[in-house]
Amino acid sequence: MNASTISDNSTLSAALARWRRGKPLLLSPAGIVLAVLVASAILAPMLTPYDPVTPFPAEKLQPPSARHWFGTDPLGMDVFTRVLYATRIDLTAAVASVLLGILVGAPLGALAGYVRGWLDEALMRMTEIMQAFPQILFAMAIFAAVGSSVRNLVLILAFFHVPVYMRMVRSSALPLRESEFVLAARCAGHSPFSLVIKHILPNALVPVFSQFSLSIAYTIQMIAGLSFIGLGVHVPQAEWGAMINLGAGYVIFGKWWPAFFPGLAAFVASFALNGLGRRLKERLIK
Amino acid sequence: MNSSPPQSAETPFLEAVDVRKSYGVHAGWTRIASITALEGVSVQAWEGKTLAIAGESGCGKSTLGRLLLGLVAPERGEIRFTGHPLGALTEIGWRNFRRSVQMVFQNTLTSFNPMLTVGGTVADAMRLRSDLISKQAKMGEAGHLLNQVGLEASLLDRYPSEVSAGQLQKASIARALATKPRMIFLDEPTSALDASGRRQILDLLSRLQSELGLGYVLVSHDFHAIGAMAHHLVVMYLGQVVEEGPAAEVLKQPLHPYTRALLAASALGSSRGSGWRIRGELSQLPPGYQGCRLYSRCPHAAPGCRELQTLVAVRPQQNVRCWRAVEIASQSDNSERKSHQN
Amino acid sequence: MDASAILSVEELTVEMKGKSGISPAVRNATLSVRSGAWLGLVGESGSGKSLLALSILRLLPRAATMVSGKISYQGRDLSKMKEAELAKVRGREISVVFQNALTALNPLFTAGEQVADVYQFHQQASAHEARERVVALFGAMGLSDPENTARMYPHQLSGGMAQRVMLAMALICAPRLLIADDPTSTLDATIQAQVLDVLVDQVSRRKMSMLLISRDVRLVSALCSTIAVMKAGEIVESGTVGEVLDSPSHPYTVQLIVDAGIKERRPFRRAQEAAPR
Repeated sequence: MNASTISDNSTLSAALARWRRGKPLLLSPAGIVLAVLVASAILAPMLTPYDPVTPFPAEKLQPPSARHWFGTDPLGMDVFTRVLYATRIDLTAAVASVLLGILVGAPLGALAGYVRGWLDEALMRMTEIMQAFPQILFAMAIFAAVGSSVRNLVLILAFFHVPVYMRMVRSSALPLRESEFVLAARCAGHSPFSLVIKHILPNALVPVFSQFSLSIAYTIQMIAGLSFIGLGVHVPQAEWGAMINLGAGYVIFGKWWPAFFPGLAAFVASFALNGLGRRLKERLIK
Repeated sequence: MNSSPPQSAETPFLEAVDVRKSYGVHAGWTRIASITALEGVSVQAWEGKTLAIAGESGCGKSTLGRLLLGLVAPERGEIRFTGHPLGALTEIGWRNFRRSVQMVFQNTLTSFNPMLTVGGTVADAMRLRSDLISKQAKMGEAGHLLNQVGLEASLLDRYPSEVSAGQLQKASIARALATKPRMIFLDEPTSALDASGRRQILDLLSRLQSELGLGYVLVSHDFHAIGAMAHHLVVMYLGQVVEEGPAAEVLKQPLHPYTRALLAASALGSSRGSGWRIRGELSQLPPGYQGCRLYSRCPHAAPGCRELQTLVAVRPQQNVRCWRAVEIASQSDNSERKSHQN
Repeated sequence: MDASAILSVEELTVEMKGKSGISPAVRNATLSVRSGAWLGLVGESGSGKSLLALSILRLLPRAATMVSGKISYQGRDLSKMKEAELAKVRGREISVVFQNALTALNPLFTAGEQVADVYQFHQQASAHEARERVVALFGAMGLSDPENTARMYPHQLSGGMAQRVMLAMALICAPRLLIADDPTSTLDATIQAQVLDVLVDQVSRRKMSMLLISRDVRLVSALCSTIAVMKAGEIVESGTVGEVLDSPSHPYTVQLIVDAGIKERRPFRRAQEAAPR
């Protein structure tokens, strides 16, 4: 059934809907929040007088005040400053690794789902192998081999995302093979490759939009776990997950701020990305 | 079935010659049961004429369509394009085939890529047009094609979900015309439409046939459409052709019990063959069974029906796969005459 | 209001909430079904005919609301009834048969269980008694091997069988009025004819009234005695089938008749036994 042709354009809700549809993505609430986060990460040095790694031992665990907006952590470092600087690493590393995972996994998944046969089998076995690795141990091994840096961190995390997206895109590509517009494209003379790129892949990407923000949130946790054991981001570099780990033990003593603010930042980032993903999906899926 | 090549001056533009196609279906953990979708089917389609294929679900018409379009290969028999078997076509031959035979689908919404605009889809169909390279040229041609089917060029920028079913079906025809085909395969083109949409599409298709000399293969259960457009009619049941002949003749005087039941069911209240019913549901045939496939449902079933049935020419061009066809026809003529007398 | 009308809908308006706002899907619709008569409601898809039918038993989807109008069944106002009372009417006095039985049936229960369930809800019968009735009714529906069919799950049934099961569910409590919303259009032609035979047979045998909703004017003209034509939420014309089809007064009706290719009208003749061999 197609869209109803009866519509009352004069009502307020209809007008609002039209305005919302035409607005650029960046002005949506999610877009604004994300823009603020990114801006604060870039402009961090200008927003705070402190250094993210200089400790003030005399001012350990101070509650939020005029001097330290988010208070200080167990090592005396300014939490606000660290949250801001951490945004740089967390946001970039998480987003980059997920995007890389999608860029590699999605086309392979679409190809596997459309072509089937031995290529599909081979790729699927590969994803199973990739997903069978215990992630932290694997990361440790790789870091030991190639050294610990943010670039390597992104690559290793991307490695964990590739099979997820490959499988996801493959499963939405499978029913698309039989759909009539794909048949029509075959009759129009498309080669399997051009068919996958032009017709299968765009339609198979639909579930990716909902998933990617979840992946990013999960990646931030992974980064935290890795930096906790000293991989990827070295202590005392500012990183949300590491800050939460450090501050978590102090919450029962009533010192909530060292863990709360980085947690809030991580939450806000995930939430905004989720909203952005949803908007993007609405815009792109007709 | 006589297999000597036809001596006619013209060869059919597209034909299926004694094709057989079966599918494997999972039956239990390890067994794969074979379902024969088509058995010994031969049909011919000519330029400028409409071949109609009628039948209900399970008759194999979709499979036949896929075979005729070269999307799957038959197990036995062959598909011939202007006399040449598809399997023997060169690369150039294939491109020519793809250009010459296009398809219009039943479900309008799913036959369009939801991510592309209507214009984008029609332009995408022009891949094999060597005379149009640039995107602008293709879009221009797309607009021209939309006009040809009675649509405004403003539809080029709309997405399928924003367009009504009737308009989308017309756009589907425009897409089929993009490669300048000689023949269009129409898979239930009117089934998803309302009465007015159906009339518009049928008018459009007839107009295009007379203007462009297009041939059609029309697969439909809508006898309104078949009556309006078909020159030649083939009726299928469970993978076999049960009756075939000039459409007007078959519709006026159906001979096979299945054809009669189908027409009676579609007419529903008109005087033609009313009261004819077949019992029960489609059922699996016992393995190795060669007899009439309608046997378990036919009101006229007799022991002789379990023997092998072949297509027999009952009238000059009308073939029927039923040894009792003539008998039943004269019986019903008699009983109708009697009921008219009373 | 017509005194002999078993169902009377007056000035019914239903609004739908869509992406672009609220729009009237049914506008001031008025129709009535006389006791024992069959009314055919004809219109294209999107004309609002299904919504009209659903609103009679308050089965509207969440996006739709009935904003005004009166629905009377045997003199009682259905639109003002409490939910508990209306639940007793559904299935017992007024039943509905939908278009696609396979989606209308619960995939987790067998066909027999679902139909027996309806019977037991309204009649306080024992499980054994209900089961017997179900099997008997399945037989009357033309289902071969009714015992076995009752034990099947919906996904095991063919389209025609499922439609018959749904019909049985609608008829098992012997309602007075049947609302049939396009009950056969998803079926193949020969199966459609079989199911219509059964429908016509059962409804006329029980002397029920019927509101038949369809996009097919020919079907309605063959089966029904009165007809109402619906376009874009409004009933543009209504009357006996003879009046409306022989001398239509609204241009839309004229168009409908032309498009359907109705040249002659004959009443629906059920399957006659084939000539003896």
